[in-house]
Amino acid sequence: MRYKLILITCVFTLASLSYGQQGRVAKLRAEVKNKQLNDEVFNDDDADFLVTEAPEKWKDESAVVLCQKYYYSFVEKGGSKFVNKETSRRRIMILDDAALEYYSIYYYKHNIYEDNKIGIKIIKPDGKEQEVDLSSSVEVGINEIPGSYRTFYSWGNKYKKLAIPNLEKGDILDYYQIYSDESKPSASYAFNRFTFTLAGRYPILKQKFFFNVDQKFNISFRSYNGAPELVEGDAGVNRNGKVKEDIRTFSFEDDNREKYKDEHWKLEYIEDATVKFQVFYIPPSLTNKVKHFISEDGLLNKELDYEDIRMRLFNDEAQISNMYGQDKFDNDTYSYVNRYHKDKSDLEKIEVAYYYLRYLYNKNVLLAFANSYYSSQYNIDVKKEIFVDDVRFANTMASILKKMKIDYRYVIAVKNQYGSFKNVLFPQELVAGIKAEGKYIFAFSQYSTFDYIPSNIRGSEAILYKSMPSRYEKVPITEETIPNSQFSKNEVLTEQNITLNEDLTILNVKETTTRSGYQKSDHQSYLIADDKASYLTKDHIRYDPRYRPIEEKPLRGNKVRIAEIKRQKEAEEKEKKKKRYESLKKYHDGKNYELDEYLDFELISDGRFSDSTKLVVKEEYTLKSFINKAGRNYTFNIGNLIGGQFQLDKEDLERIADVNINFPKAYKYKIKIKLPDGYVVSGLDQINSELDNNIGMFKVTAKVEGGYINLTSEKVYKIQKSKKEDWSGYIEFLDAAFNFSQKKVILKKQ
Amino acid sequence: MYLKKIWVCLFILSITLQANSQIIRINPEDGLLADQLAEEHPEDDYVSLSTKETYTFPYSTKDQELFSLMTYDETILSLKENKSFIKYEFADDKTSLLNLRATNYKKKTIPTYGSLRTVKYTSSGIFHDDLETANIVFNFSTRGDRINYSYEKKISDIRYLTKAYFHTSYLCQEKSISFVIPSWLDIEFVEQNFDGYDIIKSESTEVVKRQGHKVITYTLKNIKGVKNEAYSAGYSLSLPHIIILAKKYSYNDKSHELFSTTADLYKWYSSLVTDVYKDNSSYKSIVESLTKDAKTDKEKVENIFYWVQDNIRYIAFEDGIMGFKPASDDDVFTKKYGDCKGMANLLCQMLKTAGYDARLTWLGTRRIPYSYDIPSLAVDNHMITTLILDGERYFLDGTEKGVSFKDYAHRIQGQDVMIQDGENYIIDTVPEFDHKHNAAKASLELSLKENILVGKGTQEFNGEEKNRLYRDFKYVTKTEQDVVTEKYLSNSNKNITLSNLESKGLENRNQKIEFNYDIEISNKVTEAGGELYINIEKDYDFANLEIEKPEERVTDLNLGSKINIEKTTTLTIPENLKVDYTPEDININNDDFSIIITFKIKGAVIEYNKSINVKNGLIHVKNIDEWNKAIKKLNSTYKDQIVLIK
Repeated sequence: MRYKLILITCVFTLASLSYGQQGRVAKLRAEVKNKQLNDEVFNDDDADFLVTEAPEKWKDESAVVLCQKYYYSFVEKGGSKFVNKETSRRRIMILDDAALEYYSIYYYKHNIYEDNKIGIKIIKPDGKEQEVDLSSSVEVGINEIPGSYRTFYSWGNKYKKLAIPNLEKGDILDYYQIYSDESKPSASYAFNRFTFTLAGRYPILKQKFFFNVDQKFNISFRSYNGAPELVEGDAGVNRNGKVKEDIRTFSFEDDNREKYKDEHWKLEYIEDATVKFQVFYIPPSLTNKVKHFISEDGLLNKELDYEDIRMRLFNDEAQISNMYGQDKFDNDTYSYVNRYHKDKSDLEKIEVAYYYLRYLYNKNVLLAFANSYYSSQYNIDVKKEIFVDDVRFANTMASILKKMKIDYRYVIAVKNQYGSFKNVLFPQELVAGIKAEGKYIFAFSQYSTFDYIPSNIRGSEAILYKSMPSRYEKVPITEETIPNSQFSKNEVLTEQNITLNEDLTILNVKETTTRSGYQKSDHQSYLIADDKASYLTKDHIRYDPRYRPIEEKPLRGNKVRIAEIKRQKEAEEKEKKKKRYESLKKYHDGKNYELDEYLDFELISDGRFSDSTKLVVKEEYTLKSFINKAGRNYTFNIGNLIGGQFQLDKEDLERIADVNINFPKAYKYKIKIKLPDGYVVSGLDQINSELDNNIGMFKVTAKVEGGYINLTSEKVYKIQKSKKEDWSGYIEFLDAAFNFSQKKVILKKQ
Repeated sequence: MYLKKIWVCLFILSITLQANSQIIRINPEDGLLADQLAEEHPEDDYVSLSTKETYTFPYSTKDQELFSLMTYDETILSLKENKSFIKYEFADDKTSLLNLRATNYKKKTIPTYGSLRTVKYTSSGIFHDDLETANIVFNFSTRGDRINYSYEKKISDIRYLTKAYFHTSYLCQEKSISFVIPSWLDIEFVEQNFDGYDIIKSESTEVVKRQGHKVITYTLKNIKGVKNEAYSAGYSLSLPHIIILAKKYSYNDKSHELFSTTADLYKWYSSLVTDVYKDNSSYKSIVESLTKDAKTDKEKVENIFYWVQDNIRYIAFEDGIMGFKPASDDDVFTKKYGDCKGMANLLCQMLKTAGYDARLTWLGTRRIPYSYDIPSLAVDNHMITTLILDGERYFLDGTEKGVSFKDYAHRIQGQDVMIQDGENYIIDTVPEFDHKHNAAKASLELSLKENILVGKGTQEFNGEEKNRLYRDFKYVTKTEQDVVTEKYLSNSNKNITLSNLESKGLENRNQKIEFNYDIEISNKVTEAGGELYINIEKDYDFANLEIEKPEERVTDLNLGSKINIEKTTTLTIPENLKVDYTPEDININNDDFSIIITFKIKGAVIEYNKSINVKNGLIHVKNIDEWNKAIKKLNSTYKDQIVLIK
């Protein structure tokens, strides 16, 4: 035994010695290699990287990117392996302390298994160049790394950071990163998808993107809004740097790009110079089977035709006509409808099917997930609104409708942020659904109702077609526009009954809030689901009357045990209620007024079914700081009852881009305030106002009736899309609402 | 199909887990105790029934070194259902965590998984250090659940064992801190901030490994949990703790000096700075260019001091000995970055190159309340440069961007310093300024124009606030300067519009910073029945500084600097109106702060004066109730109105 131990120790020591030596040799070799590469990259004769002056027009900017180039290579290695290599180089002139601070620390991926190379040099104003030594870099947690330092393709699990030495204002920072990866895909493979505007944090004098792609790879590339087109170049190089005729190169170049300007409610991919691209590895045998939009000649850089879209989006129909492994959902739904709702109209049947399918999904997938170890492990909150995959939904729904012998058509619509079909390059820019009995039916979430149409396809282009026996058959496709939503359908109505305490310091508010349409989402998750997803249990009872939740089953055991379980439950309930009230209090606190105490909450309607589409809650709470002494009288911040109002900054008054709000909407208040005994209100006449234009509306009425102040206000965002020329319309009604929120009236003692 | 199976399994597993959670596993008496404690402390999730921190001092014959071994033993009782108990423990290159064990209410061992596994801890403001953290986690399924756990913390160099605190982040019924001292170890304890706490000290003897040991035990009962307190002055200033001074020991007839006296501490520090001066060839020409046109010593010194502030970025490496040893002058100059020690060293050597007497200087910032009478590594956390010029000492802190020569940042004012002096050292104190040094003054002349307040304003910043502004504006891009200035002066209040904005001093740290502007403030006038209700408060200084849950507060309130706000606003009364009412004056004055507000009618003008002073930048816990009352009163005046009638 003893000898064995010694032997093991010896072997281990030898192994670690040789490993250590190998490690040192490998490190030295890597250093030499990196040095050679630095010489190659930094001493090349690329004139674009020799620029040392920033244009005069950008002298007051924080920094100027003199040149940045991104090179992506996708080539075969042999043995069905491929190599993808990402090289980026940036040359940035640091002009002020803010940029110096920003670039002071450099972050890079440091994965031991990958062939990564980094080089940094600094060019001083006198032209002297210094290469930066990376040896003093230290490991860093991934959360610390600013997004701009993450590479496009490779995601490492180890990163390093380096405090860049001797970097000063006026210097040029020039760095490159080369990351390469090898893989052996067994099927098709899609690299990350990119959609980005060409403008960035700092102005860019020149930028170039270059692709080196061999024939097994496909590229999808489009440019928009004045971004340069992709140009095909000479033959590319293989992994050893040899020119090969079957390797194609593409590039585009962009000059003199001003820095990005952010504006409220702006669709940047419609407004700014934008580029989209994605690279795929697709073996020839799978060309017709993949879901991606590709071109047979390897480069897709033109508008897609509808047939292409239809074929690709609903590819592999048979395999994916199920939802998350639950292949019986369509059968079960059909059986349920057929058994209990046979006599209903077709439209009613579809509606029943929609909700039953949602119940099946929630019960079998979501609830199981909520109760599983994974929901906490991956920090996924099932209370948050989660929509099921649109294509899977459409297929499952189609299968149900087929069984029910109801005529239907598939619908494909373009998401607003990507514009129209002529702009589409990726399936992810589209939303799929069904139209039957004249009604659009789209994928559900835990909270959606049957009439739900995603807000991001409202007013957008759509194509419709009937399912054919074979997907390769050409089908007649019709065009439609998804109807716009109306503000009256997306409303928050807040009704308040307010009384004041004796010394006028506290307002007691009894409030009923009714939310409809798109105004429900975001609120449903915290108003409905208080314990993981309690509404799921309610659904379970609705569809399966025999079902009894575990917590309702009779307790077993001796008296002490039963008493203890009951006590535990009560304590848990109390704690839950407290937590819930705390979170509700937090929500009200965010409205820009001081909440004193949160007293009561009642969910009247969860807005999850067609017979009760509105989300209605009753609450009671007290507010402070609304009434303040002013001499013998009191000021009452009556305007603040409608919460803080969005107000534009001075720099927002000029508008460059068109305006696109998520959806038209209305906020209505009906407030009844009991005047304290012995007091009258003065100054109410000053707050009645109405501002109405083609963009929006803000209206307030206030009067005293029978000892009450009756106040109503209405703020309406009338339309979803408007031209920049109409921006003044926004300024007017947003100003009117803000000014009202600042208004006070006087409570005078009689 | 495979997926389906997984889901089914998960579903069954989850039901099993739910069912299991209904089995009660506690002592009935623990349940009753938890009920009682939960009623007394409704906000707390768990309580330590007993915490024992025992320090022993074994001698490692292998390493021939004395080390410290702390055994932490704690019993936690859950006061709520389904709560996780988390204790954070720290380690670094001198400290390791060992032997975590835990038992349940039946004294049966329970698994602790990898709870002592440490992960990198990123200290705020430090680029890289060796600090690591372990999260010791236990899950309690029900209230009344009890867990006892223990672990050891080994500090390989006893000089790094400096302090022991009674407080933790959770409630503790009783905590004892014991030191088991072998006869051959000379160790002393300094009791800090014990006033107001009923800490019992006891002494006994104990035989360990056939050797007699003295055991000193400090015990404190009913200790509040220290939550994340806003504006906390830090533990050292407010909480009771024991400073541990291991002075020397003799083992096997061989004596070893640790830190017996301040001279020993200096000797060790001094040994770390012997080789930090390389040579000045890299920066000699810079020093020459900075001094050649300067006429006076003050100018020369200023030029060098400001050059370091402006050109050396603060980036701190606190890895192992680098937490104490400065980087060399050449290294800092070449890299153009360094931590406080590196910057102090470069500044020192640059001043020496220019022919001045400059010394490296150790000190603790204001969060550290100890003087150099205590020979301990806990005394200091900072390094600056002392310049000796014409017999006067000037303290130069290169990390304080924006501070002018002869000005001192609040965090070092009044602090003890240890100045390098060859074999010896000099103890001195950084001069302390009173709160008026930081005067923030404003005057606003307003009149009414169609229910909008219009007029002119000036604002002036000195001392600490000036330094902060200088620093902040240094990082604002020129193209954004106007927008940022306006937002700063209007407090981002969208009712305020500024025009004709002028600023002075933003680029000269020797001057105060001043802004002049024209102003319009809307939505401040309410017209009701021919009367005007007007609020002329613009800045609402300190309005949000009421401290929540003052009864739970254990640390003093630190406002970051001494405060002196002096603001005057005037309102011209329109011809056809007269003053019916002005808000009440305020006059609150105590040893920590004063708030004085007056409204005076001077002819056709109402003059509103506001003076807020926090003399030491601190509100002691004993004055927090009074502070809250004062802030409430201040807020009610801020919201009050001037009433004008016909």
